[in-house]
Amino acid sequence: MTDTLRNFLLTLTPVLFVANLVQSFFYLPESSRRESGGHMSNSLYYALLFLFFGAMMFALLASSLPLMWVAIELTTLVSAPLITYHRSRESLEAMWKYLLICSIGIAFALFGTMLVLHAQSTGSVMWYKAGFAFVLAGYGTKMGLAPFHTWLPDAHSEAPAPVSALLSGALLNCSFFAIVRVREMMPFAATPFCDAAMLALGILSLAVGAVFMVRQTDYKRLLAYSSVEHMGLVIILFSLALSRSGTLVWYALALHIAAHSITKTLLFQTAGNLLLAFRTRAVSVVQGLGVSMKGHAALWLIGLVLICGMPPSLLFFSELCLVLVSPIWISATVLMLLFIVFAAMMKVGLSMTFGRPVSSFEPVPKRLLIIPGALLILLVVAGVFSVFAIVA
Amino acid sequence: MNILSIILAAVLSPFFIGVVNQTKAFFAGRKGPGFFRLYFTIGKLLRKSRMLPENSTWIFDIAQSASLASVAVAVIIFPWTGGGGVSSFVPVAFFFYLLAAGRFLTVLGALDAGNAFEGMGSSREVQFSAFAEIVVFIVLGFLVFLSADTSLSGVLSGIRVEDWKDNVIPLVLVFLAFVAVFLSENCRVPFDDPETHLELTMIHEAMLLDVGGPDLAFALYGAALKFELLAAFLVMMVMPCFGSGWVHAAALFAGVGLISVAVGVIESVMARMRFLKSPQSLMGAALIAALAVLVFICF
Amino acid sequence: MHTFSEIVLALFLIADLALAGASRLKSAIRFVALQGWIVGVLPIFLWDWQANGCPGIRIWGISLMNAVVKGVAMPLLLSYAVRKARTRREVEPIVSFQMSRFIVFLMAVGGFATGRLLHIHETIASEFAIPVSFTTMGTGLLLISARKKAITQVIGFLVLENGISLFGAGILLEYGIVVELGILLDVFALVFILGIAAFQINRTFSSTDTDRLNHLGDTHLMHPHHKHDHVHD
Repeated sequence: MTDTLRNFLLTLTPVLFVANLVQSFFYLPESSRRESGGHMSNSLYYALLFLFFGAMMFALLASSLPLMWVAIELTTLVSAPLITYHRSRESLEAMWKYLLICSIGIAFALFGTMLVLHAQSTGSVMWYKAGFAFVLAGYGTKMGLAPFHTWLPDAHSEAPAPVSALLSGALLNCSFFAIVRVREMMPFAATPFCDAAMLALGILSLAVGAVFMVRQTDYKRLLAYSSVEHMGLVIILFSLALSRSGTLVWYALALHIAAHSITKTLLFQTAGNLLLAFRTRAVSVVQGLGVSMKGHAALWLIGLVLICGMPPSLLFFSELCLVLVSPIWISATVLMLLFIVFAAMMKVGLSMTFGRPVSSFEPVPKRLLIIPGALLILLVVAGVFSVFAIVA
Repeated sequence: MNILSIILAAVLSPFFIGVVNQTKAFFAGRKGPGFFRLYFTIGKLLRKSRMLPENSTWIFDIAQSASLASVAVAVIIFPWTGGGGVSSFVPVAFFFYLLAAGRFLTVLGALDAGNAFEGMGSSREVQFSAFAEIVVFIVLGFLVFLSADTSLSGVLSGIRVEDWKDNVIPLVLVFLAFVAVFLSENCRVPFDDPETHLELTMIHEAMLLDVGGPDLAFALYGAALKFELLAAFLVMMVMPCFGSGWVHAAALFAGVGLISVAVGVIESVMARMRFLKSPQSLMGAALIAALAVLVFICF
Repeated sequence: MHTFSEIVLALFLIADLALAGASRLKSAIRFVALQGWIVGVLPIFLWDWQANGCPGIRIWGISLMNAVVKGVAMPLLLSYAVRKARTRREVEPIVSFQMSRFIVFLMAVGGFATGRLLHIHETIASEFAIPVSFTTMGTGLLLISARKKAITQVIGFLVLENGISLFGAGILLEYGIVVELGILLDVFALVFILGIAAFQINRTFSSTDTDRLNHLGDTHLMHPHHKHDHVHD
């Protein structure tokens, strides 16, 4: 299954990269025209973006665990400067937190990798378990799992839109894949521990995401916490896929990853456009999009609906699968938390779309809508198609 | 043979102070006062008449000589030739209590003179030695553990070549911790600076402000003996036992000479640390010694 | 050679205690450099000379690289960052130095107890390497969490990294030269970027205290003009 997942991610990551690269061409000139403060030189930005993409592909393709560690650490190194594209205090702070927290996490992942490699030579189950715990904590930090997620909302909200989208859509998947790689090496005796640990972290992430989304006043942070929530769902699905026979859950897992990545890219790009127009990330200021920016209103609202897993969304099927195959207490918890997420998302989405306009804004050019629009059409077509496929 | 070695130790001790000073002079590019300066100083002081402060009592009168006497007893019981004699049945703690008794008498004498400056010096001296004592007793605990013996010679000759193979980490840690004690107890840099006579920062010297003549000679000689004793203790902690005899004594004195040179080097390259940091460093040394015990117990 | 490796490890342990109590950035950097050197040369000391003869060019090369990068290049980089940032040269502790030392001591107790419980004798070159590496990792985390300055956190990260490398050396893990160089380069680049970031933080916030870095959070409501609080060069 690991190779299939690798091939799948190897297909998905370039798609996301190209989408965000093209969006960068549209977004950056517009952004530097409007921002008064300084920003990084564009050539450096594109160089780092390509390096970032390369590092992610390197992480997916790496042949051994230590080499994969090198690649994952490399993704941190090249993406950190991207966060400070706009040189503001906040972005500097976000970058510092990102670098430091992720590096400590990654250092633990290295330690865990060593333990696992050593366990392979001795065959000690305890070392395997300890190794996996450290790896899970380490790469889990990078993936944004709950107790270690603190860097994620800061970094994702401060980075320029295409970078946020890439961080959230592609990078988190790569870190997840790292966990998958290590999990694959666990001997049978260690698997119950590993799966239980992943399940616990997954549910915790879901809960933390849900709690912080309620009353969220910053729409980019809202999206960031949504990433935490979805990574929780991904890791729950993964631990279920391992313990259930059959390939259905594996398909659900892949579907979830792909749908989340594309929907999140679409949402972050739309959020970036809103930030350009309104120059703020406060939900209370960005109101009444339905009147003023109809295209963005549609993208934003439908995107939020899709990320919540409403039926035409592909996420609906994966979440349905999760609820169906898991034990009843997990299903109940997940459903309840998803409901909270849905409520929080809709509160923000509806008030931003249908509220009364409170602030003046500067309209953004239409070309900024091309990529998110295309992604939206892709998602909706795929969703409707799968509904028909399942019904038929 | 034992008596001869004790006499040798008593005679040599001012020489080692001279070695320290000559080393410092060498590093500073000076000619230096010569190796035997302390002998001349002591001789000069002994020829002077006694002067006692007006308001002092008999305590001041006997303080320096009693202090020297307790240190001298420590010299007599020390196993200079590697064992035998008194040292094989005297507990190792007694040795350190003798040194502590010497310090206690000096402090009493200083307080008796009623000089505020001396009072301050005494307070500092006692504070430092209180911290140093923690280290000393953790180190002693470790050595007793290692040698399974509590007598002075048993503890000191208990370290064999095999111990250096099996327990090298604890031995290194203990040695480094005891170096801190050695430097602090002898008022050397970086804990105290013997050069800073009559400055507010000094510790040991402040207690001797009212002492002169033969009493000062006793105090200086006592300090030299203490330096030699603790250095010899340090050497025997790391030196695997050669068995008894002249070879051992010769190696011991050579080791003390080496340590004197090392002290001179340290004093040439380091500055005295801030007053408040000295107790902290001693506590750090105590932690290092405790770590040694820990390592020893765990492995 | 075994005895040497253990003496070196004892020094490593003392460097941990010293780092916890170091009050000047300069001395802290010096102790990190000492640890870097030890991590570098340890594989040579741990090498079984009697059984395997002289170690090959690979071991020598990696040792040299490690020692040079961790013992020379990174400390130089850090001192450069300290000098450039014109920050105060003192480490500003949140937990006092005495307390930090004591915590490190307790970590050592924990490390040695764990090392004893693990029963790791047969496969491991030096049984002291594991407890010492645990202690060092703990020290690194302590320095990261209990010190204010950004640069001190970089130092703490390096200590953590040293602990992990020491663990790798202790269990004689060999990944092959590409990976070792990769790890080394990654860490070096990380320290480099962190150093630059610390410098920029100093310039932007006119302080390297990380307690100024509390702007972002969930309770904080953004105002429209806030975004434009840019760096004034």
